[in-house]
Amino acid sequence: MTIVEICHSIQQTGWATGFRQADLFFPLVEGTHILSLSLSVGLVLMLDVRLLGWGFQSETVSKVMRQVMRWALPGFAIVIVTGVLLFLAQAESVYTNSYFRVKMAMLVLLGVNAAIFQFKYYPEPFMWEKSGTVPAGAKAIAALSLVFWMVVIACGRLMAYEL
Amino acid sequence: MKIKLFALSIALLVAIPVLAHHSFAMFELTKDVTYEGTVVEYRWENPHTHIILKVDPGAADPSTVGTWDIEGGATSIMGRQGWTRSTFKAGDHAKLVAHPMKDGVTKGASLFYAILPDGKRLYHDIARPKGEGGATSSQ
Repeated sequence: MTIVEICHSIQQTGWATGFRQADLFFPLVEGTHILSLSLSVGLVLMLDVRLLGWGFQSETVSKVMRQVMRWALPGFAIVIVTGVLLFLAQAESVYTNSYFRVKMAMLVLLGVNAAIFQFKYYPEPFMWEKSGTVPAGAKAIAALSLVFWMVVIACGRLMAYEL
Repeated sequence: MKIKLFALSIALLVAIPVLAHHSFAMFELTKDVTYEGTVVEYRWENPHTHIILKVDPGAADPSTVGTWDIEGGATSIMGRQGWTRSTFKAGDHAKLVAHPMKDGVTKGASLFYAILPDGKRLYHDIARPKGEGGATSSQ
């Protein structure tokens, strides 16, 4: 079975059809998905701004990161759960959408980006923090994060413009 | 390492035009075309209700011949205009006025209103034809 066929059968299940036909539940899930972007991406962008030296300079990077992650992690949990529900409801339509594919590819890159930051710059808490200078590599990661998240959000919106 | 990331992102940006070879789902909103035929599928669902309509050869407007995906709105929006999950079903005859795709090739259209057998109109949303009051923009 091809992926498209699997997506097609998911979309045809009673659960997925019921979810699509729900007058209130569907908009609630979709609305929550979008609103929780502020609680996830919005917060991560603050960390990126700190790393790039554009703001929040009075706080150390580790302090900003701790505070951001405290709320961004539950925020991302909400984004992911609602996103999965939305995907399952329209699996085939969404899987064949070009903007959805770019969005997913970007999310993979963002995952790699975050992993590199986590394993290269975060452990041995911020030995570079004392020097007050953010390493060039961490800045590059922050810049990419900023750009990639903008693309993800734009693609999420643009999905509606492809039949 | 950052060079590798940069190269990856450039490669992806180059791939976008290739992936996005579909046309935008923009409809010719100033054009009202009447599609009359048999309902293949009536999909009452979010985010958009879809009526798949088969127009047979010999139709009044030859440009409408074929199977069309006529897209309506969300169930709550359509519901407020009088649509229900059983307004149509597969096999019904339907007469729909819609705005076709701008690309002139893809058989998709944006629903404006349905004309029921008794002559009554079921609108997609609050838009009404010019000169009949209400919003003039169809989207």
